[in-house]
Amino acid sequence: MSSRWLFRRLTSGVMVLFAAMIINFAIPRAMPGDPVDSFTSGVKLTAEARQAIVERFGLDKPLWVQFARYFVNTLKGDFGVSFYYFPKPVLNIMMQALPWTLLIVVSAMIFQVIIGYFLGVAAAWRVGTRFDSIIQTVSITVFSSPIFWVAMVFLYVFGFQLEWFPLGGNYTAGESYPNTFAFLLDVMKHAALPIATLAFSRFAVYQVLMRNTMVGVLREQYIVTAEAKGMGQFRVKHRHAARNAMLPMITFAGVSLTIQIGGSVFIETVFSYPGIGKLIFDSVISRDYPMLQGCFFLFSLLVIIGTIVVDFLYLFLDPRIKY
Amino acid sequence: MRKKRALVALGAIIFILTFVMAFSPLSVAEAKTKYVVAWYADPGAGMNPFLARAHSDYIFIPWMYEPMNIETWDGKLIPWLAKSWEYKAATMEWIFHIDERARWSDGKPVTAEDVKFTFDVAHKYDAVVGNPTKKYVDAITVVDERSVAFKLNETLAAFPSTVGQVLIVPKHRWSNVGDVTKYTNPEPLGSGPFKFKEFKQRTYLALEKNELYWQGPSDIDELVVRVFSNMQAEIQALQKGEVDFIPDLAGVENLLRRLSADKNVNVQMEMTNNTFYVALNYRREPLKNKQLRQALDYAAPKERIVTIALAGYGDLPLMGYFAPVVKKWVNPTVTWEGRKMEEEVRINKANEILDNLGWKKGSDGIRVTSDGTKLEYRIKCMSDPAFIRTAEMVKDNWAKIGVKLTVQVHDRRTLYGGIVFGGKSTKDWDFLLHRSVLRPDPDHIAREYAPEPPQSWYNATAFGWENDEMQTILKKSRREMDETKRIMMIKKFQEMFADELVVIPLAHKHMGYAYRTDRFVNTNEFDVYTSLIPLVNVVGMKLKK
Repeated sequence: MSSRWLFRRLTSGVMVLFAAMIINFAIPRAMPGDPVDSFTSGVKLTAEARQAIVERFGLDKPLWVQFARYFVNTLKGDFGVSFYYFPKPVLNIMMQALPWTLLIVVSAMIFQVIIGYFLGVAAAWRVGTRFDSIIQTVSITVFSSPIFWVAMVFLYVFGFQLEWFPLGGNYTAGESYPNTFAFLLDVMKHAALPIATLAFSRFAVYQVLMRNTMVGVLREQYIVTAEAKGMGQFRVKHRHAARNAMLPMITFAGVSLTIQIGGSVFIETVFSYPGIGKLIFDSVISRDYPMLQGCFFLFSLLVIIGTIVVDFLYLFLDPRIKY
Repeated sequence: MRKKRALVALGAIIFILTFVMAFSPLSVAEAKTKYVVAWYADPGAGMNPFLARAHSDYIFIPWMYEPMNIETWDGKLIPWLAKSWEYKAATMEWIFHIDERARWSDGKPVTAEDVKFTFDVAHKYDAVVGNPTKKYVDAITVVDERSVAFKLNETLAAFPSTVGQVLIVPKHRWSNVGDVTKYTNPEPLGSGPFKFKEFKQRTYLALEKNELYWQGPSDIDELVVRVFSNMQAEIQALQKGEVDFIPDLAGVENLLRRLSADKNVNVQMEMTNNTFYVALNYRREPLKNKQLRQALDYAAPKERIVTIALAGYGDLPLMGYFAPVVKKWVNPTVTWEGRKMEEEVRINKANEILDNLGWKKGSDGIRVTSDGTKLEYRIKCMSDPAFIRTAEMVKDNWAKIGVKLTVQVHDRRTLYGGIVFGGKSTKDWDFLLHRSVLRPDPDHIAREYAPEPPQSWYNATAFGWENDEMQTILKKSRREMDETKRIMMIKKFQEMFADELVVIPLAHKHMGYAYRTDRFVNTNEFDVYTSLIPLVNVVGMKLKK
């Protein structure tokens, strides 16, 4: 890995982040409606009282002043004060929400990758057989089912009918726990259904990616050579074929983390889970510009970091790659 | 290889543990009298009563902070922190007397100083809650320890109910805060039936019984208000026993029949001052034509809207903008003329009116006015199933009389803030399917239809509607201190409103709440204004013996 490559990679990351900041600033302001109307929730104010809120939010300043303030403050790690949760800082609210989303999304992704990997490898190994067809059909059917519908079904069956899991929240509201283990137990109990829904609904992407790449890899000469050398089936399958077939899956996992965080809104809504996906949705509804700017900035940062991490992972997974 | 196996083994253990933990029962003891209230939104105001502005804020905060009085749907005011009030016409002063029993949860009494402080800072820092009174109050003075006087700069008949919209805070805890609108109030202390324990934004509010509560301590030891973002799950949680009380059932009417069948749940759906109507943009031609509005009214499928779109939880409307439940102010004579006619007869009548105007149907079935304007419009509504269903039903029926509608659905903020009412609204709409949940006191309607000064967020300005005679009556009614005369004025206004068909009322939508009956009995089923239903009802919840 050359230092020049690293410099170029980091520079392009910074430029992408700057472009993202401009877009993040512009998009919320392009939405119809007015944050002051959202803040007052229909309370009919006098013009003076309304103006006081406009000034409190800094919306009386010209757009370029608002942008300059946002830009400088963001570099200092200050995303400003939320309009909806005024006067609470955006960072506080975001940081309360992010860990909960990461818990369900990262856990679900681990399950998605594991399930996708094993089913993909198995299907590719028996390509063209009935087993392969069944796996493909199930995967596509599951992936085509709307995630909120799957979530509603899971909630109804496992939460309401069977009463195995609670019907929402991240832990039991207002509960006093005897120890940390009891708290973690409760957290896991509340996270189980959101994780299961996300894992069930999205494992198919990894399964299809793994299977299709693996089918190609299995036709390579070195696989034939490995088999001819009398290497065991497990070793050929997982060490020689699957390892090389994993690259697209790893790339996708890196990029899809942010997609899944953003897309967790459905899961978080159905399971009343106070994560960042639902926070973004609520902020769009309430025209909370600073909150949207903060969340989008965070996403941009995660995408950039995610792609750089994937580039590094390539070096370990595929020794042929040199930067 | 060993490392890999170890990793796989570790993964397997985590996987198994996750599920074992998930299925294990909680080792936490349940409190005997814990009561859980479910609510569908997060309070933006947090715990600061000066930032309260939305329905959700009034669901969370009044457990700790209380108002001077509480308004009932029939138009009465229940004394709360203020035991009585009177008006001195000579000095234009309203004097409120605080209940001697009222005290903060730290044992100190609620005094006139606290009330004066609350209103003074709300006005000084332009808090949303202080806005309705600020314009009218010249000075607030402490008469004695328990009496406070508001000197007004002009008469305002609805002043006592307006005062009731503000939650009173203790001066001894807030006097050093400064700008109260920039304070998060991390440790609330109030006079209400519950004391603050813990608040997790977007998740829950936990409270404990205020043993010193001046109206007598509650039978509930711990109260939790839990935020749900899925109303179906909220209903399921009530049936399962995860929650005890849902203060608002709007939006889940289709589930209520099943919920009512649950023997452990009591569902209270009642008429409120909730009017569902079609508003017209008077800037569009020829909507100023009263006969056209009459035809549109006849052709509206109101019975089917009540039975289908509102799932039976509604009533045919009175035409004067007030629901029958507001007994003190309603004019019950302004009934809908079409209520005794079959729908087909009404459609024929509507066609007859438009035929008589000489507005012929074209080959596409759409009527054209004598000056060539095609009766082709958009009806806008927010993205709520009952609204969309209603808009589609209105569209189908109006098509039968040659008025073509296109249904356009928007999110609430875009529709109200961006198109119809907001400070930056585009005014680009023709018909609006709207719902008004109005406070019982008609002052609210006077402000909507005779705003002083006109602002885009008031109905009259947003709809482009003007009528000197009606607006004069409304303005006078705001200042009329003789209640009998004021009632007469408001009833007259309703007659004129109905006759003019300022809007097309479709139904009075029911609103309601549900609670479990297996552990508690509700002794206080007051007919109160929506936001304070939980406070009043939960105060009245008594443990079953």
